[in-house]
Amino acid sequence: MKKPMRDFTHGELQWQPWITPVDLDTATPEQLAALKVTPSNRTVGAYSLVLAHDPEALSERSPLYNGIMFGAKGLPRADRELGAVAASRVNGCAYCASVHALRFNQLSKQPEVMERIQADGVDAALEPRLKAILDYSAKLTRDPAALTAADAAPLRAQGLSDMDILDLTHAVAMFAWANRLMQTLGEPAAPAPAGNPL
Amino acid sequence: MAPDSATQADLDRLLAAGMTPRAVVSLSQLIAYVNFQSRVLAGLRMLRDAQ
Repeated sequence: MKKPMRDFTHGELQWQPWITPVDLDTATPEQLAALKVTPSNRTVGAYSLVLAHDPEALSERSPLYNGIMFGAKGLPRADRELGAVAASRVNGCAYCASVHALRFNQLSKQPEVMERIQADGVDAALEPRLKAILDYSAKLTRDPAALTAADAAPLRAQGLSDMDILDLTHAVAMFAWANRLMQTLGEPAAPAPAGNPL
Repeated sequence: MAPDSATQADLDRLLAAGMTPRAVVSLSQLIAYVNFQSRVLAGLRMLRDAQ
């Protein structure tokens, strides 16, 4: 079965679920709590509304995701976003790759990095520090059992501490998780045309 | 492993077999989580071996 919109893009994509999302109007208290829905904040995307079918898993996952991707200290957030993009490219998650390429651009102000990855994938030629991050992220995604002590050396040579490497590992691993949720529960879709009342 | 090979037909088979939407989401969460866990362990093992 051919999937639409499989090509990678750094423009905006949306995500179309294959399973009916939870309806906020009939959601249980546990689902609303897991979604962090309050009377003043009912803006919840389809992805979260699908995950809300299992509120226990969602309520554990959300703080872990936020800590790994948004935590203020440690490895710069742009580097974590690069890890997320690398994982998403290797796994073939066009939606995740597009979202996190945009976040990388916002954080790094280096749009040429994602332009190169858009063209050449995880084989893109980058400056040495970003290349070390890209290479490690791709290998950890593709074949984690193949990692050896030698794979830490290029990251350390670019000034990453072991705690930075652990931050990167968590970000890349989070996208082994996120990509699979996105890819088994729905598919990317083109955004609605501007001005569409729906 | 090829997560991109999952299709809507795969999901529909689970629903047709009587699994609830909640059970389908739980199954995806479990499989995806194990992939997270195995990569965290691989990174920790690498850092240990690189000491």
